[in-house]
Amino acid sequence: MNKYVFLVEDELLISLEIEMLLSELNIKSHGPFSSCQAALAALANIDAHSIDCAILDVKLTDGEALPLARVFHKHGIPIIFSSGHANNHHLETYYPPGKYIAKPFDPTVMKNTIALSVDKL
Amino acid sequence: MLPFSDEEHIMNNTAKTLPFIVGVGSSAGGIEALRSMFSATQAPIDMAFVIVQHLDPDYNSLLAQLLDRYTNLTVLQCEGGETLLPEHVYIIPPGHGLLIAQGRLELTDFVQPRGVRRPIDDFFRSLAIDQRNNAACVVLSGTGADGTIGAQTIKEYGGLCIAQTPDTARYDSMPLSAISTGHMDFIYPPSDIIPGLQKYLKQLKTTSLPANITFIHEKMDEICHELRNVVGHDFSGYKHSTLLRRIARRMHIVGIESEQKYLELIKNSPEESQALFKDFLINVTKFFRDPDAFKQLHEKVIKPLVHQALPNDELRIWVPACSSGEEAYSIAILFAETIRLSGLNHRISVQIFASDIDENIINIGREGTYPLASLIDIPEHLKKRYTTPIGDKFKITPFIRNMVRFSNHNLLRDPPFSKIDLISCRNVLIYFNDTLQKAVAPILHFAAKPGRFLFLGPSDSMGRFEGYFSTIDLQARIFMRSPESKNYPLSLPNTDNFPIRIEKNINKSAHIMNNNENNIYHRVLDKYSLPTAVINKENEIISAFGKIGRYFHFPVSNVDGTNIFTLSGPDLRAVLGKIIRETRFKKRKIIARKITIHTEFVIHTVDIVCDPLDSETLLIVFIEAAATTPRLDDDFDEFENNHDHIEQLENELRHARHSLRMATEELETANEELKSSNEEMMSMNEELQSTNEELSTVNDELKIKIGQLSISNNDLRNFLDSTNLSVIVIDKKTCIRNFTKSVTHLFPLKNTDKGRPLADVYSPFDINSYYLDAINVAQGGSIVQKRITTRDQLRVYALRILPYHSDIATISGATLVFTDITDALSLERQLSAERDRLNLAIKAAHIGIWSYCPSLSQTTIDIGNGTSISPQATSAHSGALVFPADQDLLKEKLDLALKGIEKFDCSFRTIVPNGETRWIRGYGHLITQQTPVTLIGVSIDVTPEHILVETRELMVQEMNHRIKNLFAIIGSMITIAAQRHDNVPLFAKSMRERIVALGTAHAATPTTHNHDKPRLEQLISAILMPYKDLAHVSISGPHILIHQDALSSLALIFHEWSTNAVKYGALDSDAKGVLTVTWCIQNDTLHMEWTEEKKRQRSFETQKGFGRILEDISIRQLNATSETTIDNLLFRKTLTLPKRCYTHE
Repeated sequence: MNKYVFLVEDELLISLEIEMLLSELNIKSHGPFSSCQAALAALANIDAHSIDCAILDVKLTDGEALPLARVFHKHGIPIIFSSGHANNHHLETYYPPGKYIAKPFDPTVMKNTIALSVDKL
Repeated sequence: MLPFSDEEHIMNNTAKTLPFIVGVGSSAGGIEALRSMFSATQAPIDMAFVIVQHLDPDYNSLLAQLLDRYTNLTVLQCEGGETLLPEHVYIIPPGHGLLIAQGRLELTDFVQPRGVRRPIDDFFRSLAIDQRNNAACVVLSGTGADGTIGAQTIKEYGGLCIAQTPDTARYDSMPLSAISTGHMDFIYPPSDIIPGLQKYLKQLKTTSLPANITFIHEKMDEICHELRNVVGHDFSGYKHSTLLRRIARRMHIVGIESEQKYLELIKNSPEESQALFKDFLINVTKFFRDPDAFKQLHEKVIKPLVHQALPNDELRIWVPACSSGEEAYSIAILFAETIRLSGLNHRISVQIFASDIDENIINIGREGTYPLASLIDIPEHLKKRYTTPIGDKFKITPFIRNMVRFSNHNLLRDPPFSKIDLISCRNVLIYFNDTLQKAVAPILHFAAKPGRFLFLGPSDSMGRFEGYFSTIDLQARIFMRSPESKNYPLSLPNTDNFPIRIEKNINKSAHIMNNNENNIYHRVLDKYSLPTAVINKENEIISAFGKIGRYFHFPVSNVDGTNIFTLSGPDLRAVLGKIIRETRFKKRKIIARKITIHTEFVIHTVDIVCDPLDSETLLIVFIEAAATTPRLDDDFDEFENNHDHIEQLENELRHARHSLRMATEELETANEELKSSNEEMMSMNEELQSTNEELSTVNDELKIKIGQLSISNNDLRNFLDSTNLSVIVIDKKTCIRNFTKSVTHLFPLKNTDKGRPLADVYSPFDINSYYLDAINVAQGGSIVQKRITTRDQLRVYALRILPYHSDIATISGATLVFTDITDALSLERQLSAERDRLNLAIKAAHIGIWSYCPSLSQTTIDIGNGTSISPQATSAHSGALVFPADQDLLKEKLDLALKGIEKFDCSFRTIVPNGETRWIRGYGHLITQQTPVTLIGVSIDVTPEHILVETRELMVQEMNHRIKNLFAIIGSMITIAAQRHDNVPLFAKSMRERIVALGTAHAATPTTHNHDKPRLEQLISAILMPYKDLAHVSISGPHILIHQDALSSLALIFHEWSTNAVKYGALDSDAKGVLTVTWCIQNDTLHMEWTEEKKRQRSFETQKGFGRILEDISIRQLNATSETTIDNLLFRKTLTLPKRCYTHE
């Protein structure tokens, strides 16, 4: 059974890299979505149970990704926050079992974190 | 003697609240004495002083002021009605007399003319009557005898009498006169008077009288006994209450508290015994005491006695306890006057026996000289006739004086006078107790002739006299001796005699002891001696013994009734004339033998001895030389012829004598006239003396005043010199009265200008600027205060014109004060300019100034932007609210500042009414010098600075984010690119170039000026910079600002495009191409054209591999679209960017 990751990242280059990592892990992805708006719209058409993990860039083109985080948290989907801001560490405690990865990230760390989060289910 | 006074009540009568009152009498030279008397005074003194001074009625006395300076006591000039307070000195005002009644001072108007007034006596008398033993009097320096009588009264009522030591007094006659009465208790120099009084007062208080009395009472008999031993008088029968008080008084004076000690003192000190004796006999009497009683006496006794008297009758009057004789003289004057007016032409001789036991007091009577003050009591019509003024005293005329015989005689002890027509025994019985009074009644009855009179004092009781006397006039106390003979116990109770120690009394006592011998002498002389006559120098028979009548015959006429020649017959007259003349001439005894004297019926033959007794009187003794023979008728002619010649001579002589007498009488009349002119002169002298006294007082006062005035003048001059004030004083007519030295800089005034009109003096001011105001103020206008400018407008002066008050009510000129205020004004202007500048600066800087007073919880804003601070959350003035989070901090800082721990310096936020948040920084400084303590400070609006800081922080954060993002992009780029490259050096080169491009794009981003948007033009030229020499590059288009989000992507796109152009397009070094980049805005999108043009034919290759992927991703990232067209020599790329990526300027 294929694992799905819901990817929200406004920087296309970075989402490209993550997609590469995902394909290495043999995980499929929804996205990438560069805005909160687009992500929410897409989410409406996806069965939440199919999503094993969400990777959220905190700052998106249309604001912060917190509304998205709430939705995922509601459905019990683990969230990996990735952000360039130094002060967003608290997010992983707000939405357990969330993880926080500071940008620029180590691809290995990202890869392991995704693998761990997906395996948890 | 003492008037009726219930002495039992003396102590009770004295108001307990009143202090001990000391009357002080002084006159010329008194100021000096008063000053030294009062200067030593130390409070507290429970005494009030009343000073009575002879003052000029028209001159305002300065005595109160002068004295006030030398004493701690309060000195007041009396205004009448004062109740006396302790430690106060009251001074008589000029032109008034002073009395005291019920402890209050009363002013009186003088009744008597100047020169006869006795204000000191008047006051002392009223003081004595009002305050009794709670009073003292002090007689100080002065001329005349004022105070003497008053002092006696004080003494009589139990008060204390003090006189100034005469040799310390400038004028000693007042104290001398007082001392001469023997009534002064103390004689002190002025400075010792008050200490003496204090000592006496202390004694008086510590031994209060009633407590002492019982003890003294027990010792009374002993004291009387001792006194009797010393002075020979027994007082044991006197009323004890009186004696007790007088003993107690003596004890106070000598300062002895124990009666036992006093008794010892009396035993050992004859002086004290004498003093006590004198005190016992304090006796003040006066002329015509109780005038109404005297009137009755005149009408009911004297007139009848005179009119009933037969020729040559002798009226005998006895005044026992006569004291200083005033009463005796009063009666004598009344008799003399009655006889004078009776029109009777026969002679009535009046003999008044005045007796007393005090030899000293009798001597005053004998003198017949009294202080002028006593003269008031003698009725006006009698005064001139029977008294002669001598200086400040007057004398009873010799005629009256000769009517009175004074003798030392004790009413109770000595045999009474007898055959008396009138006994005046006034105010004597009140001193005697019952037993003595009983004893006195028969004595007086015995003395008086039947049907004759007794005159008593108003308070003498008649109870014991019933049966002896019957009443004639009870009111006037005139009684008549009952005619029936009484059987008295003639062994009079006190007739036993006591040995007397006092020497001067020894002669008298001898006389008294030989009382019975005296009778024998009389009997012998009368019955058994030779007929003897004693004649005086006027040849009048003054006494005769034996049967002398047989040799004389008595003429009918009363002329020269006692002259020995008148009484002699012709033959005796001839012999006597010769023998008397010869005896007087030779002053030796002469005898004329065998003289025959023819009388009516017989002829005597006698030897006549003429013996000079002294220079004036002769003793003439008749010794029978032969038997008496009857006279024969025929002898008559014989003798008549014989003596005819002598008779004629005698007649001539008598005639001559008569004319001599006439001449003498005329001379006497002239003398009288002279006397009366003398009297007038005396009274004028009196007035002059009193004026002189007043003048000397005034002079003393003036001298002191002048001294003060010159000091004041010096003070004033020094003050004016030191102030540097420019002052001109003008009078009512605006003439210059005075000016200060410093005003001469303005007005060229000299001392000679005083009195010139102000208008005539040149001044640097316009005359109108001050002259009219000066006139106005000088005539009663109110104060003027104005600025005036000199004519040249250079200097400005403040001018104050004040009314000149010579008295409080009257304005008699004006004072002009000039003050140069030019400098002050210019300073004021500078200050105001400075203040304006400061205000401007504060306003421009939006600085708020505030003061905060914690005790009043009051905040005041002066100026500025209206922002104030207050520990309360809201500021009432601006409505600004301190940001809740900052309130605690603000309060803490304020507290610290108010405690003085640190200066106030606090930044805080406020929310102004429009909702904006403003940052405020306040600085404050505690002002502790003023109360209440106030914090004063400024507040500055620091909002812009705060915004700047906040922005900067945001920017730093943003930059941080961007850099991290950049690193993330680079990281991803490397990861992704690594998958496509085999050639590591190529990979590295291309990655390096891309990183440079990103760096270049980033560098193009400005970090200031509040926007971080680089211009499109700048971005492109920066990226193309390395290639600008390879081709002709032109860049053009409107000003476009690239948004930050789009920057990296756009930079990567342009980078890919340019590297492509270098490899294949216009930027190839061989191509010599042209690169044109243009852009424009169409339909809210940015259309950009990248056109490469080559000179040489060469294929344009679109890039492949990772570069291509990167370009695509970047275009997608931007939501942009791109097209590529290739035409032979042209290679064109278009890029359409959505609105969110740029801003059109």
